[in-house]
Amino acid sequence: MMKMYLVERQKELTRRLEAILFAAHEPLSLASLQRLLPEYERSTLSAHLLTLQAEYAHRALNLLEVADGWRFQINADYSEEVRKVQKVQPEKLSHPLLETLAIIVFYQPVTRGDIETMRGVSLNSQALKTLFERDWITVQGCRDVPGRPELLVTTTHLLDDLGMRTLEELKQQCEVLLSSAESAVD
Amino acid sequence: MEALPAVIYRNDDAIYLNGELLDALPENLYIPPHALRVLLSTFCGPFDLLLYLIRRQRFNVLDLPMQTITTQYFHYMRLMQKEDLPLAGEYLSMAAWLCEIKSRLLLPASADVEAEEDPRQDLSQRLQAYMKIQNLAHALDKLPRLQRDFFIPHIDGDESLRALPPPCPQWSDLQAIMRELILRRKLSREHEIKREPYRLDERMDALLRQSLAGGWHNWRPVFRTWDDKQRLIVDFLALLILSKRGAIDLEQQGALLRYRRRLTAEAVA
Repeated sequence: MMKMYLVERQKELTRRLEAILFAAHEPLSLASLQRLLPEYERSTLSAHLLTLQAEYAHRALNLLEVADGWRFQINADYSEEVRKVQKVQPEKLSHPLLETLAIIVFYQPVTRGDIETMRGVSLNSQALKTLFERDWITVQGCRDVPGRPELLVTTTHLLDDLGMRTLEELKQQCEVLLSSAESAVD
Repeated sequence: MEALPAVIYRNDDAIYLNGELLDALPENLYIPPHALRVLLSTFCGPFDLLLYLIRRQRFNVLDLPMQTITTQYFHYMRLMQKEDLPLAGEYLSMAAWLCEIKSRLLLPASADVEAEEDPRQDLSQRLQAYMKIQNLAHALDKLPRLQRDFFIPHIDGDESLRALPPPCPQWSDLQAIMRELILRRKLSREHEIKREPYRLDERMDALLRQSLAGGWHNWRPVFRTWDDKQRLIVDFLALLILSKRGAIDLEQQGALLRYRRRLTAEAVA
């Protein structure tokens, strides 16, 4: 009897986490989950998140951990279905924007001047504006040279949008793609 | 020595293949003019254009045939000009760089060859770095991205609670607000400075001229309008000044004010 009660209590916590994560509009970190469920230890919450993740592993909806915390997302295999319902067009990013972003991702922190030198053209202000608006990049301090140019870095929001946990993971994934493309050419 | 790859370029209307004049473009190499125009406007800058030329000819970035590259680069710049594409300064600066490298290669090698580095080295390093960035950008674009490749489920429950239907305005509220708006508008009306229609010196002249006719003149101020009021003030001021200067006498008779030319002592006598 006691055992059944305990099991039910465990399941209850998993369901509460499920409800919270489902209703959240942003990824929730372990810290913010604990603020919402103060009666539980972090380790307990962490264990239940993994349980929940396992339960959803074979569904179209998956629980994932990204840079800013845990969130539900629809498996990319079913994006076609989502697009049909939401009637959204897959957006394309321009070459200048992608090149600028690539430089910031891999060489951060960089100044606007660094980007211009590496790309060999004057900075595309529209591309940079879009990157700021999307909250993919931000200013973090200045370089200690004359003019004190602002240093640009990527944000955790970029990692969230690419479904990554850390910057290293993002860089690694890009390198993997690069090497697979090269081997395809060879 | 490695065989040079086929180099085709068009100089005005003549077509050269490995330096030999051709009658027409080989068919499999023909690029329709329209496609060329599209192609030209898609370059992200001089590095992009150079890389395109190098890749198309399958040149090695580390061993650039400067003569060919420079010729082709200039050819494309000319095409861009012809197509009225804006030729930004960075394209011209790259052209200058290419020329510089080419001319340095043409100089006879000095005795200490080993000390002198290959002038192409810097360019090929920059090109390699840019190529890496292009590849990374491409890889970055291929990564699954939120809202393009995958999506996040949304429950709008709390959102809809937050967005209560806007309250319907009451007719009386609208009236009150309108009144307030009109009032506020009046308060914020710009202060206008108008030119005075009556000038003091002109009125003094006029009154003095009247008094010259002799005898007492009644001053009958009229004030029906704002204009009258202004005239009244100016006239009154004019009378006071004339009186002070000793040109006229003022006298109050009942509610009226009358004036006359001041008589000189002899005249009074």
